[in-house]
Amino acid sequence: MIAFVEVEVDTDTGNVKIVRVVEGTDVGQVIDPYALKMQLEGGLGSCGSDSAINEEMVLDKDTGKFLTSNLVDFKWRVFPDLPVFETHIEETSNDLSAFGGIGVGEISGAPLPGAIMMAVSNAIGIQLMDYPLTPGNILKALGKAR
Amino acid sequence: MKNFTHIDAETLNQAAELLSDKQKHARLIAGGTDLLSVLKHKLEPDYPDTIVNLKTVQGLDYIEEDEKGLKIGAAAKLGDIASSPLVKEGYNALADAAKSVATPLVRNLATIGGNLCQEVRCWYYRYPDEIGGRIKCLRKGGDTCNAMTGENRNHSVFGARKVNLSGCSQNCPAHVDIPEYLTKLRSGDIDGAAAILMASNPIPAVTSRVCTHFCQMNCKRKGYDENVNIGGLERFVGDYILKNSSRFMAPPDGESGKKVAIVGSGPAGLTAAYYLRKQGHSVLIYDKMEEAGGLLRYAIPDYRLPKDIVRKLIEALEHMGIEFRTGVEIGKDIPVSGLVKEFDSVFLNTGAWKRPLIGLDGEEFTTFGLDFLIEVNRWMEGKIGRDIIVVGGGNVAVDVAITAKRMGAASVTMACLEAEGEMPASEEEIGRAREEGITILPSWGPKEILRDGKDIVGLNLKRCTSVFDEKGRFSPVYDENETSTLHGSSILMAVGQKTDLSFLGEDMELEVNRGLISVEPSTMKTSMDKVFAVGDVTTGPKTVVGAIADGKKASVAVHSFMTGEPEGDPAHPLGGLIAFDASAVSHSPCARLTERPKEERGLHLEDSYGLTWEQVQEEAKRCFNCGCLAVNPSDVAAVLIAMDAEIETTERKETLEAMMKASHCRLVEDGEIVTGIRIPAAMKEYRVGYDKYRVRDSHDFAVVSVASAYHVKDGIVEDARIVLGAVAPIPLSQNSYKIQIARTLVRNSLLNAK
Repeated sequence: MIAFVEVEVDTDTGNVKIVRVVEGTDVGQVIDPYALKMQLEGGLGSCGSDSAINEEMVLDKDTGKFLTSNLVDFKWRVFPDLPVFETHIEETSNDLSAFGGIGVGEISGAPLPGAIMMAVSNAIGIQLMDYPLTPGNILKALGKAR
Repeated sequence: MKNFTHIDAETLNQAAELLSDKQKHARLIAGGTDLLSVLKHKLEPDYPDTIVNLKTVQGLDYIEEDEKGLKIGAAAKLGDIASSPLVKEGYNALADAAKSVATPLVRNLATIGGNLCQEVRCWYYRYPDEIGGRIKCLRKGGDTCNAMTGENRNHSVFGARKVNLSGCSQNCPAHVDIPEYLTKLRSGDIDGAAAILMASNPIPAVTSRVCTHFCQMNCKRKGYDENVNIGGLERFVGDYILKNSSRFMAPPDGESGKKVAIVGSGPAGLTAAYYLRKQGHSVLIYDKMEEAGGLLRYAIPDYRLPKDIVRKLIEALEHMGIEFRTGVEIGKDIPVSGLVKEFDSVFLNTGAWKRPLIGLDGEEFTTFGLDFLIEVNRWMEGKIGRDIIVVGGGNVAVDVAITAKRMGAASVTMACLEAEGEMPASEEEIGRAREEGITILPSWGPKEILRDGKDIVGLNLKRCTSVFDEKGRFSPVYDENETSTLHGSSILMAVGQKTDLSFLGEDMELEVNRGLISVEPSTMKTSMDKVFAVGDVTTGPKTVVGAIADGKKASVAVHSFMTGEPEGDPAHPLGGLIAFDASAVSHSPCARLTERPKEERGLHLEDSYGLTWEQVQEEAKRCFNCGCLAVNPSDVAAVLIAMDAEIETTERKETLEAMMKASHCRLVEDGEIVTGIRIPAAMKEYRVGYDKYRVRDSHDFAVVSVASAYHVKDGIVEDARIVLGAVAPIPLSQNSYKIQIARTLVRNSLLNAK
């Protein structure tokens, strides 16, 4: 499973914009092509890029309550916010399983956060180590905010 | 959701009437996109019984233009505003702002009026009740703004607005507006601070020295680092007031012709006297002791409250024209009924100076602690003996113990029923007692007085396992098997004080209840016409500040009674924008009063020194000025203010800017309904823009938004109105990144205006 990502970072506002995402994997024998595409894009979109850029569970230490208690305060992207994905699916027949299919699902979310972190670090010239890459965190890394 | 009645209103008047009817307990619904989630998640402690529907009122959704400008009805939908050719043509920024709100589904229902009135988006305020209980913040009647020291990076947490009395003021019996006068101290305006303080408490030089400081106990900094030293700051202002008493305690401009008699010159009476005299009434205070001041003068020791402060206070009151007649005992020298005949109103303020008996065998050989203090303060030599036992756990008991120790007792032991944390004495006083070598034994009650003939030799104690029952009533429970014996030659009883109502005489038929004069709680009226009562004689021994609060309440009621004028509203006005110092959250250790070294302490010198002006200013910076940090999240409001729009409701018509600056919890008052918006035609000459920076452009609230209106002529900006949304005038630690974003957006708005 491989993901490539190109990002643009606005150094005035700390905004991270995904310009282009390319992902690819060899899934062995394709059984249901549409479900496969959906899995790859779904895992990549929400689980992948959102983990890197916006998702965060905020715990208030005084009351012990999670303040991100709904899907407006917990930031995960909806359809209009997602970029266009380019998915490349390689098919190599094999005898590793009954129909030759190799599982796809959770794995699709794995490579993108790291890729985004590396791309953003590359863009601003400072190695970042923590998710999420919110505007506040990026501006702090750039020294433009306390 | 819970059951409610739904009424389709036909006219605005009908809707307003239904909303004002307290019985109906009604809320207004227009689009309902915000109200339904407020109800579903039970964000507010009280749930409405009736929902009044505004959608059925005809003619409120107009979008029209005339020669004066653009006018929009409050029920016009955001979607219609966003797509209206009229709005897009001359007032495009408003269309942009309306279009940026939420999602198309919401914009099809939501109205502009509702958008302006929507509740704040703070995640503490919006915490759903069903997943662990709603959070009772300042806005909901609590006393804390969680965002001040909590998670405040949220987009709608910014600014500060006084929506409720702060925690300190709520806990103070007199509800002194503490953050308000600390704000004045921060700006160097001591006179302003004094005026605010005196509006609720005219004797701060006294209270700063003797009060338990309920304010400090509920200071919201306490959970964070240390409370603000409000007592120290109050002392500085109090001493300043006494030094400049000719200014702050000046005689009134005219005389009202009404006369008031006050029996007893304790703090409640002195307070009432000050407020009544200020309004021009003639005030005469009687006291049976030789000097005025009550317990302030005779019981509280010099080392806590120097007597010349009490004397200066009395002198200042005399210069206002208040007459004191000391050495006159009402009930003996003059009957109370005589005062009732001669004066327009009479205050009974005789306090609680009598000794209560608790029924111990041999109790007659013990000494009443209060009498002991009074005797000491008259500088008489008392026969106190070497080892002293003090029974009691309040401030009087501590005063008794410390006085006895400083008079040379070899040992002083205090025994009280309450456990350590329950003792009514203040923490500072308990600490002082321990520091001077006094032993405190909490959770012990007196069992038997041990004596040899007439001489006391000791006291047997029995363990007290609990003092209050489940309802909080005084009901001590003992373990008779666990006992202890103290040896001592004197036992001083400081277990409370009783009132003595014998001065009333036979012909005064006042309603009393268990030795206390019964009064109506908000006006201090007794059952007899013209007669009011304040202070310990109505409550039993309590606090100086409680007496002051009652004195003020009574003076308001008496003034209205004597002159026929309607009673003023004593509650503090809320609303308005407030500020705190940018260093507030980080400014950690609290300023402490310097204490006289232990070896130098005695009976007649004050134990602690006051703060310097520099210390006062630094300490005042530590006040959070507890206000609500979340403000109106409306995007449309930002554009409307930039366009200098006017808002009209069923009750008033003013600029939206003025209305928002003055509002507190809600934009409009109870029962008031927004009817329309008007944007002046002159705005068409301006280049108006709206920019909203948010996390998810599909539907999020603003992280920072900028509405700008520039009047450009020949390449020069002649007029500019810039309104920022979602940013703090005083950036908090976690959302200071917004300064950078705000700068960027403002710069972009200027570039776009070219």
